[in-house]
Amino acid sequence: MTLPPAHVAGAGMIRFGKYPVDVTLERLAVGAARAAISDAGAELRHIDALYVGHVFGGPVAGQRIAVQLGLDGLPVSNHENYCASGATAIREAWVALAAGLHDVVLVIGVEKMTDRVAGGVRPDPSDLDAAVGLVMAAGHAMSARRYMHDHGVTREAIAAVAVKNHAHSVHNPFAQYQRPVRLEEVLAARTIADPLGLLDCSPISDGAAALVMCTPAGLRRLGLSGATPRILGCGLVSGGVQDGSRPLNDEDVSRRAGEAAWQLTGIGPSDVDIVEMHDCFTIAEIVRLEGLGLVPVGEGAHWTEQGHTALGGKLPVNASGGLLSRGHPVGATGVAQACELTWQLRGTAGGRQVEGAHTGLAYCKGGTVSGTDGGSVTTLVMQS
Amino acid sequence: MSDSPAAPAVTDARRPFRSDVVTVEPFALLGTRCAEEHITFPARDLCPTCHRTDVSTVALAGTGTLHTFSEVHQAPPGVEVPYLLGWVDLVEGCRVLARIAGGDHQPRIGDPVRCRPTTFTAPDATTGVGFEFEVIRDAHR
Ligand SMILES: [Zn+2]
Repeated sequence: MTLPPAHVAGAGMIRFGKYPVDVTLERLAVGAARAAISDAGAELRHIDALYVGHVFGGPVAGQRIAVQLGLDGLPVSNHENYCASGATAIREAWVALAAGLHDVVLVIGVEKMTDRVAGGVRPDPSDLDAAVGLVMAAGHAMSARRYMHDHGVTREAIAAVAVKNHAHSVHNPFAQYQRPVRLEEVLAARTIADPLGLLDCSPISDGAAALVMCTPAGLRRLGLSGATPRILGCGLVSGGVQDGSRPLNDEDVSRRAGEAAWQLTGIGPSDVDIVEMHDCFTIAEIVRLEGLGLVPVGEGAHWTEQGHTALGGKLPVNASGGLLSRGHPVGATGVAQACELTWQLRGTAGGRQVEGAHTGLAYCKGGTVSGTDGGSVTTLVMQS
Repeated sequence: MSDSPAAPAVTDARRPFRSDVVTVEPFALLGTRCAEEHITFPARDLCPTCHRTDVSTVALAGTGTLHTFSEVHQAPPGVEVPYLLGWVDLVEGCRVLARIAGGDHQPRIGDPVRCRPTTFTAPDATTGVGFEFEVIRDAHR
């Protein structure tokens, strides 16, 4: 089943990073929202509803943001799917536009982590994995060790993902880092969960990103004509209980998320020419690309080393710098990915532009549930 | 022991951390077995493989092999580091996430392991009997 696409009339972000305490969640969100509204040439009165993705923002964060923006009184909904929260908000906005409920909506992904999260994100305290001592870095470190064992891959090949994504971020003014790192730096960084070190991990970040999404009637309301990038659809799946018969890096959840995207949009893996991938950890980029069927199983690390997933390669992945280098304010990430795809599909991504980008895929994965292969996975497909 | 919800159960060294995870006397990891002979961890009221509800709770053998592991060096405040975390493939065919008891040398993928009791701490800071695995050193000489 396919639904009508949603047009992205405006995209806006603030630079991700570590902000002081007085730069509140609401201020971060307002900055991104005003940038997106301005980019669309819209005014507050044009907007029908507000969709907000966040994890640590607390109750009715979206309504607090609406008041600061001057959008109080509108339908506001808050969406939590851990690191896929922002992408889930986009999906719900797309469904509402396709259903004819609204014509112009504002989507915000936002997170203020630096004053709320220490030592890395972890499962809900009630989950068995929390009692055992799972932190996200450890889960991916175990994935990396098994991947190296199964496919004869070196530690260096996995670290190459960080080198590539940091190199891309040099061209992204919204990225937290914007500086290249050498392979030796990645290998020598402090160990977080072996074999992964600090530079294999996305940072704890603050930030916000926003989109103005429209129906064709909404575009007319905004006085816009001509081509705008479109959201063709967004898959959403949750992790399935694992019985232990599959390899740890089987990535069934990614395969199913890919299938959801292909079914919703009519796009296939061979149509995708740019990817924003949830590289919360270096190894995650590799196994998720393989799970989606974009890269053959066991070859993701080699692809990285050979430059196939770099700018100029046959499948550029994370031209933005990815989570590793743009930063990872968890609820904001999915919307930031959609901003990047918007700029890439418009051809306005500057030094990180992927030539001829026509179809983009953005993947987010959020959370863990004991005994399953994940919490939530989203697969957003956009086209110029 | 207080009945007040504001003062939850006090620490009890003989109490299982969770009744669906382990038994204490004798100590055992708990699993679910359905009529189709699917065996999974921990105890549930349905089989997660075939969704049958005619299931029974069984004591698992508690032995298996190490599928993968990591030495964790950074954790949220209050968690002592480093510690070893691993995925264990049990002889029954299911895979369990657990701490791996420290030894003098780093384990290897494929090492034989066996389950033993340890102390788990709940979100409310109470403790109970949980589980971890130790590498069976003699077996791979
Ligand atoms: Zn069954």
